[in-house]
Amino acid sequence: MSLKQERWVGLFSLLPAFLLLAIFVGYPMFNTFFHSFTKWDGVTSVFIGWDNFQSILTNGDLPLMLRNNLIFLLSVPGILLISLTVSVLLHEEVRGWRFFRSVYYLPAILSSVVIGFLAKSMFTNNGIVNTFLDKIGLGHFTVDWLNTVPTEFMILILCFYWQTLGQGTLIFLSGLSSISNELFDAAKIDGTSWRQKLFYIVIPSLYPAIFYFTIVNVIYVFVGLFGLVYSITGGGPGYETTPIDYMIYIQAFRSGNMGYASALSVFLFFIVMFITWIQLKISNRLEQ
Amino acid sequence: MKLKKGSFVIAAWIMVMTLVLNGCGNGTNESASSGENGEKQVKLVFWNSGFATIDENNKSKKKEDFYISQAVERYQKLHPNVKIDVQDVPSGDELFAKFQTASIAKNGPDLTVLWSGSYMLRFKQFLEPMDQYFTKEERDRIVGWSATTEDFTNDGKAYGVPFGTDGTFLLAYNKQIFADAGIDPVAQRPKNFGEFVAMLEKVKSKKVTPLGLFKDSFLHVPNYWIAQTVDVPGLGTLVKGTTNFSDPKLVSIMKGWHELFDKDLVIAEDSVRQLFIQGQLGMTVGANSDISNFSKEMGDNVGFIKIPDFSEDVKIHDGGPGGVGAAFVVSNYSKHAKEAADFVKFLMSKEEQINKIKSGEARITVVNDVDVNEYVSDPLVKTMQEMANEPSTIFWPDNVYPAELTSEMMSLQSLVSSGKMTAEEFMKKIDQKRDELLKSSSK
Repeated sequence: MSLKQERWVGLFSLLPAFLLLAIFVGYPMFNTFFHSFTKWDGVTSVFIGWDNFQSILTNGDLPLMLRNNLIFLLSVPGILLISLTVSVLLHEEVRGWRFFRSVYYLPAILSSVVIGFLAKSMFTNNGIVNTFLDKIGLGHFTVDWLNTVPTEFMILILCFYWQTLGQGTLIFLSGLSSISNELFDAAKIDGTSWRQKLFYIVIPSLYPAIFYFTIVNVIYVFVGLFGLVYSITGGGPGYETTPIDYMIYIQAFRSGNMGYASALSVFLFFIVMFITWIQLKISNRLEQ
Repeated sequence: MKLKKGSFVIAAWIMVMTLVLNGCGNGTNESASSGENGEKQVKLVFWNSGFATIDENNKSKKKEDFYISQAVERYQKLHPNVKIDVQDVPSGDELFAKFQTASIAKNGPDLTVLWSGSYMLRFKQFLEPMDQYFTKEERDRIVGWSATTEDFTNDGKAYGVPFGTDGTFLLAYNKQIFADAGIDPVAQRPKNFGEFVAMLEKVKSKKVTPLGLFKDSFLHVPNYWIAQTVDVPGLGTLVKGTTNFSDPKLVSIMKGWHELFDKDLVIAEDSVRQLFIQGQLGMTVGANSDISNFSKEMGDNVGFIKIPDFSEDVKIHDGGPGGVGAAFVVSNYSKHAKEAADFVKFLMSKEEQINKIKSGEARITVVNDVDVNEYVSDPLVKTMQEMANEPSTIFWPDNVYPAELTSEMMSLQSLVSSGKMTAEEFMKKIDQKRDELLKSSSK
């Protein structure tokens, strides 16, 4: 086969995938971009220029939504550390590792809404948490967990961690298993301590996995927490726990502002693009 | 070899294209075909969010034991060419999102039941006007059309058909708990908010949570107080912006709302029905169906009163929120809109309304040619039907406000109850939102 023919075969092989992407990703994206400049009720759309974007920047909701997203963003290093620790412990076969190896992935297979409703039922006024605190004589520590902003964030982040731990541990365990044993043997001969092994062999070898995990979860906290917020706090009280993706839902499906919701989606798209770009830059710097 | 590679790529390409083009079809599911006798076979998809198909207290009850299954069977017998596919869906926000997305794609149901008023009219671009299907006589025998018309009048352009009535939303109370606290809420009915608080405080002194509300009970209590203070035309002027929510009289209602929570007289969570039945609450709110269920579970230990007036100088005394809270709607993209409307008419017929009442699934009705008293012996139901007919029952105010305004109110009201926002700030924000909406609709 000549080079030219090979090129054509290659192009034709890619075409179905591109076509599917164009239909199922490209078209909705284009549609959202278009409608972000319109007042849209689902049937008719009226072009209103930059009004939706102007409204996002001036109506006063944006700082609160960004604050909420920032809180979730700041929680990502926490789950990174926890997943890393758990995977190292499992890799080192600490006592009970066989049991934990069989259960750590379980929360990851549950849907966010299931985890959310479970957490909600645990943390209601008469839920298991307050009842337990009462029973052990710590009644004065009972809190209205779901009506206090810091505790609501705590519960949301707890659920996010619980749900993500399995994924993180799996990624890091696979990364750990790819590190050559010879490297550990050489380190042992050199008399390295556990800490030195962790910081000079394990973590540097896991850079690609750490980077992948961070990117995926940074994107997730911007676009994937909807299920948890919907089922646990409903974005409230007020908009105190409403991140941008939940506000998109409120605007589109409660208020019927489809155009405004599209503009907010475009806004979110650029925020995520920007943060991912920064991460890529940092990653490149680290690799160098 | 060359040929094989090329053929493989082409075959794969054709397969993908077939799948894609198939997926991009119009999604119609053969909803009309010809039957054996040559008559056109029609399949109607009914998203059911209004009729019971599960009995929480009797899980062994089969689907066909419920009224709607039996009504569908009767209709299908009368119309052998029509098949009705009843699909159970949740109500409220979940249904709105589902209906909206499906309607944009034009693959929603032929008919469903939506909350009435602004909630339903938000989707009027997807709804079939019902005027053409109902004669004046047919329309006159059903009450509550104003909940389904564009201008909230009985004769306006209707985008739905009244489904049923919530009656009057009431406060149910545990007689034993109130007796222990030395209160008879009927004889000593609070005349204003201050007396209401005093009554709840007495219950609290007996170490019982006095009042249980739902997360959305802002719609049931303070929203009603606002409506009774300004009267129905006053709600209209609030929406139009000729009067303001930040009127001191209305601000004091939100202050009262905060006070209830601040004094720990209220819990607001979705399990209040169960807590009330278990005797852990002095009082809770409920529509006629809730009151009947409480009565079934608690026997004579449950009593009910109307929500106390907020003050002596309100415009509507001794009332409550309620009325036709839901409506049948037919989608305007349905290929069988007429058949769907015929099915609605069948369900609203005198015979079917009687069947519904006899089944025990409907306590009160919205048709004026059926007297509930003839078919129901329970005095509780009779009282509730009488209350529903009283002019002091105010149609749900949130069904009159624009959906965006209600959404804003519902999001922010919890900040007032928890003390993170003052009543003045809240009302100012609602005025601002209302003004924004008026400005944007005038563009």
